[in-house]
Amino acid sequence: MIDDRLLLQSITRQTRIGYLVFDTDFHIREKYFRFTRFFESGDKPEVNSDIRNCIPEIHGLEQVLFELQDQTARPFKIAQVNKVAANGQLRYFDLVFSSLKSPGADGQASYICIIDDISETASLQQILRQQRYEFELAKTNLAAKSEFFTDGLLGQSAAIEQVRGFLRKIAEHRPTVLIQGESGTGKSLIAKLIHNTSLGTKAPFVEINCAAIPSSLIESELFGYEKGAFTNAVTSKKGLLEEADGGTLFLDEIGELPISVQAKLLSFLENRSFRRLGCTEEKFVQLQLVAATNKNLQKAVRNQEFRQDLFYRIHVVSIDMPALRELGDDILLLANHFIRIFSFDFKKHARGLSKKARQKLLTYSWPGNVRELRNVIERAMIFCDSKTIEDHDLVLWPAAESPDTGHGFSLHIPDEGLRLEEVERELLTRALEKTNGNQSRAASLLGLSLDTFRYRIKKFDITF
Amino acid sequence: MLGMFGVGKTSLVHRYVHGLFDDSYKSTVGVHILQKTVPLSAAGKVLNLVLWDLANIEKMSHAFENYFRGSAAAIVVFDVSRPASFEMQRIHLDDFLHINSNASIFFAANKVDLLENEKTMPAALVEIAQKYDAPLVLTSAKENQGVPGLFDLIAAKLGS
Repeated sequence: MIDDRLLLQSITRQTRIGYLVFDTDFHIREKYFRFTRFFESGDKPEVNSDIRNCIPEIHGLEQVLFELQDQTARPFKIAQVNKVAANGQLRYFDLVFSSLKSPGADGQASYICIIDDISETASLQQILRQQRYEFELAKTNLAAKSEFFTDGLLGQSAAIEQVRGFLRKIAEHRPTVLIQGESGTGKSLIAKLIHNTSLGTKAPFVEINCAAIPSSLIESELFGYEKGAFTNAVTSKKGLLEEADGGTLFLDEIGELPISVQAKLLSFLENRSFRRLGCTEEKFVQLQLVAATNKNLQKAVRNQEFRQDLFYRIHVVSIDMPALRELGDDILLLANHFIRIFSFDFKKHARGLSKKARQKLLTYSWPGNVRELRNVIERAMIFCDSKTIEDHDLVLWPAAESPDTGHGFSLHIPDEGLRLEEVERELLTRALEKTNGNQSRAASLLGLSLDTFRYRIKKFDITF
Repeated sequence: MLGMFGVGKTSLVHRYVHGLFDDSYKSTVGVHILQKTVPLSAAGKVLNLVLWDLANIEKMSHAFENYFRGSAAAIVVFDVSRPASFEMQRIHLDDFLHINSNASIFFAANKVDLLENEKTMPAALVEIAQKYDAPLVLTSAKENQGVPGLFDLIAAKLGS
């Protein structure tokens, strides 16, 4: 008959397991382990020492071990015990406890603890679990964030209340709506709210920025085309009007729509039908048109840049988005809203604004409106490490201390000075904002060639 | 240490035992044991706290039952910014109490640094603590807020 211990030693020699034999007083009677990683960061097992000094996992499980003396008891396993090695690396071990059938030389019952290094498989499991949990956490954070948007429109000022009133009234009738307001006032948000309020989130909401699409392509984008309608039309394609059937078509920056397309859009609004490019068949769609502009469209009509008949057709209901500087304490409400969002994103703990910071936000002119406020808070949250955002954390664009009236450009150099690079970066960003990301026009605004402009936005890592 | 994944069980234990905090999230698999000797009196009486940092319990098993049986206390950790997870934690606690009704229960409302102020503490958490008649300690492993207090409370209870 083969001796149990000889067999075990033979097995351990050929595998990566080790074992300790200990008695009912938890004193180590015998040890055999080929690896020392398990004990690298703790006490080494010595014969006659208490096993709990080197395997603290046994603490509290003494009763469970006693019960192993029952010959019918199954071995007890502590799975995936984490151990940090001296080099800081995390390793995983399975510990399996069992009673030995044959007592020790002194006749006392004994146990065996088999230690198995399972780091490879456990590490893989950890990676998979990590991915799953991170995904779940991200979902939870997103849900928490969306709670901030339940109302969709933040603010308690009279101007915002008036916008809310408009939204309630138009939800039922779904008229064509024109949203007017300075850049960054939230026109896109309002368009989505109009859609969600009247149709919910399941109906299609199709958005197009008329300034972002070359004028030569916008007609085919809107109305679609048939195969062979033009040189590159190798297949037929639905236009955005068809995509928005049953929902909402949001035309942002409608003031940039080419005159030729304006006529076709007007025809569609009058008849609710249109033809794809290269097609004679009339198509009928049901949609609500919401248009937005930061241009003075009446002035554009006077300058013959915008068709008067289309202006009157889309001006059925008009919503004027207030500039941020007109919203008073809503500025602080919005700032705190962004602080909460960026706290999640950046894992920061800033919770509010100091008195001076609040004052600074309230007295600034906000030419870039809510978009600018969001950017200012985002920047402040990146650099702020305290619970309160101070006034010096808020970097406002010096030149915008006075609202941009469109009649010129002023630059104020603060007493504490400024960094030329920051001003350049700000100018590049603002030019892009003003042109809704159109690099050619942004370059033109700054008197730069397109190549120079592109070089500089790349240098400052500016994206829009 | 009981609680859903990502509530900060490991962070609390590491903050308490090693005085460290790591902002990156690393999920625990299996069990990690850490120990700390806590002085209980000027006379030199000490308590050896053996802290079982358990992975999120996805499925109850015989092994967990044994861990639960051997515990003198359980700390149920909540993430105050994730109220949706509270109910699942309550189920884990009921499982625990079903196996070991003698253990002392403590609640840790972790990540309070994410709250605007203590007044915004989710009411459901206070109700849970009241229902189980157990102390609720506001903690932030990140800012070391309430962490020594939580474990001192446990040591005092177990050492008495």
